[in-house]
Amino acid sequence: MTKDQLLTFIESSFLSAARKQHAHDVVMSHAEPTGYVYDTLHSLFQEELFARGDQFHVASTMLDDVYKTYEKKYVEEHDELARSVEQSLTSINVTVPHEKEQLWDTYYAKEQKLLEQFRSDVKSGLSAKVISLLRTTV
Amino acid sequence: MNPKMSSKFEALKKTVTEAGMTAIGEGARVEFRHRVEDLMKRSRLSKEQAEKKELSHALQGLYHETLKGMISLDSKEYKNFISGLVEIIGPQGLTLCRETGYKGDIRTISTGKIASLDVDKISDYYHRKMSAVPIHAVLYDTASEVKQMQQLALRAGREIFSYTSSKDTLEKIFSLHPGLKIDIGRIIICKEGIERHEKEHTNRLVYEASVKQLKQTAKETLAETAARAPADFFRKIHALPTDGKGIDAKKLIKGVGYAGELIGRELKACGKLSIEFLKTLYRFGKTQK
Repeated sequence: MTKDQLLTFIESSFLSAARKQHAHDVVMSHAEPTGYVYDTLHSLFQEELFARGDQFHVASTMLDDVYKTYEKKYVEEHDELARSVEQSLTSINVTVPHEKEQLWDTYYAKEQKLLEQFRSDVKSGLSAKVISLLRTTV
Repeated sequence: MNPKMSSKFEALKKTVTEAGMTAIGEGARVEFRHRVEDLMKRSRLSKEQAEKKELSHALQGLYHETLKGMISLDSKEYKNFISGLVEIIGPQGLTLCRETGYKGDIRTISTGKIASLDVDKISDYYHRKMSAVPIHAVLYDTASEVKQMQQLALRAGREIFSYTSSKDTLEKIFSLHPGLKIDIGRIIICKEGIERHEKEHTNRLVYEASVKQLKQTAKETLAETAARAPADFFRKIHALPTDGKGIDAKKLIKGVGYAGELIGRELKACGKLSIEFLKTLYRFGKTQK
């Protein structure tokens, strides 16, 4: 691989600006690419990958936390809804189909609303977190 | 057409019709019809008598299944019963039966108290089938529907059987004995209640899984974007305005769309120049030493 090819590669790589500069310096400081140059470039790439891996791990945990927050809220509200339907079930005549059907219609409509709210909360919460994480990455 | 040919033609017509019915999922009706015909051949019963006897058997089968604690969505016993009923009174008759079940006053049935064992059986069914159990009220209600169905199937089965010697059609018997028609209608309503719970629970699980998937998608987006660090994208993201509550939705969609576009472009441009290239570079470097 020629010096020019190496420089082009470094330019198009995912290395951060500081590491890119360092890689450039290493290549430019040698008349021809040697084993030392390749080893140095390799370790630079590896460091970058590890750094990004750590960053991603932290970010991933943050996204888990965002999801858990909304999931907890949804589970609590769902439990509350379940308690209320349980109470209503004891107060109606279960052998009258209309009464029971009405009760379950109401319950399932409320459950659907809760699910939609849960989805909307998670979607906006995660989107906002992803944007903020991307902002802090740079 | 001579009589011999005519009977052969009729037999062929019947076979084709029955094959068609089986193909459209009405095989149980065909089986019921065959059982009635067999019974007529084996005994001196008329068609109406044989039909009532077979329907009574189907109700007994359903009763025995309810003793196991749950009637599944695709219950064979219930299918036998409902197919027999349709075969005898037709689809319209079935609809009328269901309506009567709604409107009519049911005769007293003793389902007893719903025990925790009854609820546990429903819970086990859901656990086995989908590894997730619905709320207690749903389990309790399902158990109560199964119990009602049990008593209704037992009573209706016995009563229909008691009319086997009568040459009256089932519809005639229903008109003379409206309580029996209500029982049959209520069995259908109970099954619909059980089915509804199962379908709603399945839908809920699917919906919850789709929400969980959003988390995975967010992680993948973040990983792909961060791993390739498309500078233009970050600049766009930085330019997005925020209000106190979060990101402007329209701008966010624009930003995400832009990210997708960029990721695609980046992948195309430096796909091979990333990890795989790094490996090659390393191997090449080692050989230069």
